[in-house]
Amino acid sequence: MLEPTSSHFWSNLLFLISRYLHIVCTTLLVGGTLFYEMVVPIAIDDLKAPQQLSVFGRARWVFRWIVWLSAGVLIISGAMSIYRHISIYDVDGAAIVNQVSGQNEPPTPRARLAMRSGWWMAAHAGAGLIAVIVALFLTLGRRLPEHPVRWMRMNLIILLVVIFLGSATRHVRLLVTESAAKVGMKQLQSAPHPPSP
Amino acid sequence: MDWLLVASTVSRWLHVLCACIVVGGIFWMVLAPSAAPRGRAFKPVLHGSILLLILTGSFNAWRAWGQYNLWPGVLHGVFGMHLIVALAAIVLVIVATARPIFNGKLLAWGVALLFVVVLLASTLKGLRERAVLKHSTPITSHA
Repeated sequence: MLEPTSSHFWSNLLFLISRYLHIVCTTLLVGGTLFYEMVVPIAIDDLKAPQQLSVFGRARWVFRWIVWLSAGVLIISGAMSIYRHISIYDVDGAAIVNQVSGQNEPPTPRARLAMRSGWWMAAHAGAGLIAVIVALFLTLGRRLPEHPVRWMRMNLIILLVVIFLGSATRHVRLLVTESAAKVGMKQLQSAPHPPSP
Repeated sequence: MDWLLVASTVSRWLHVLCACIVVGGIFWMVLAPSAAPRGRAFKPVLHGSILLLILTGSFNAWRAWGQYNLWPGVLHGVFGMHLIVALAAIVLVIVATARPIFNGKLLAWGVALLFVVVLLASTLKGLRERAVLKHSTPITSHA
C-alpha cells in the first residue's frame, strides 16, 4: 500500500492543483471558442446589424478577462508541468523501450524521434502558445477584428491539435518513465519522487 | 506499431476534447444567459460529446483497469467518485437541455459538478501514475 509522506504532500498537492487548473482553463478556451462560434451568431441572428455588433461586443468584453486569466494560468501551470517532468523529456525513450523489450538492435531515427517526449512537449507548448496568442489577438483592442467567427474556427482547429499533442506527450512520457523504472534508472523518474510503499 | 497504444492516445484525446466542449460550452451558456435559451444549435454537439465522453471513458477505464488494481483501496474509491459525480452531472445537463428553452439554474449546477469531476479526474490520474511507478520492477541496475 502507498502512504503519503509529509515531505511530498505539499508539492504533490501543488502539482495536482496545477494540472486541474490547466485542464479547467483549456475547457474555458475551447468551450468559449465553440460557444461564440456556434451559439452567439444564431442567438443574435434576428437582431439588426447595430444591435448584433453591440451584443457581440458585450459578449467579447466578458470573454476577454476570462481569456486573459486562462492564458496566464495555462502558461504558468504548463511551465510547472515541464519543470516536474524535465528529466524525462530529454531521454532517448526508444533505446530504453528496446532494452525493456529485449531487442538488441539500435532504434531507428524515426523511433528515436517519436519516443522522445520532449519533442511532443515542445510541439504541444508551441501550438498552445499560438492558440493563446490568437485568442488574445481576438480580445485585444476596442474594435472587433474582421471575420471574428472565421478566426475562432481556425483557433478551434489549433486547439484540437494542441489537445492531441498533449495526449501524445503524456503517453510517450508515461511509456518512457515506466520503461526507465523497469530498467532501474530511478533518476529519470519525475521530481518529486512518489511516496514509499 | 502498437495499435492499442494509438487507440489509447486517440481515446484520451477525444475524452479531453469532449470534456472541454461540455464543460466550457455549458460554462459559457451559464455566463451568457441571454444566449442560453437559444442554444438549440449547440444541443446536438453537447449531447454527442456526452455520448463520446461515456464511450471513451469506458474504453480508458478498461485499458487502465490493471493499474487501478495496483492500489485498489484508493484508486477504486477515487474512480468510483469520479464516475458517480460524472453521471450525476450528465443527468443534470441532459435534464436542463431537454426542452427547447434550457434551464439555466440546472445548467449552473451541472457545470459546478463538472468542475468537481475534472478535479477528481486529475487526482485519479496523479495517483494512478504514482502507483504504476512504484510497482514497476527493475530488471537490471544502472549506476
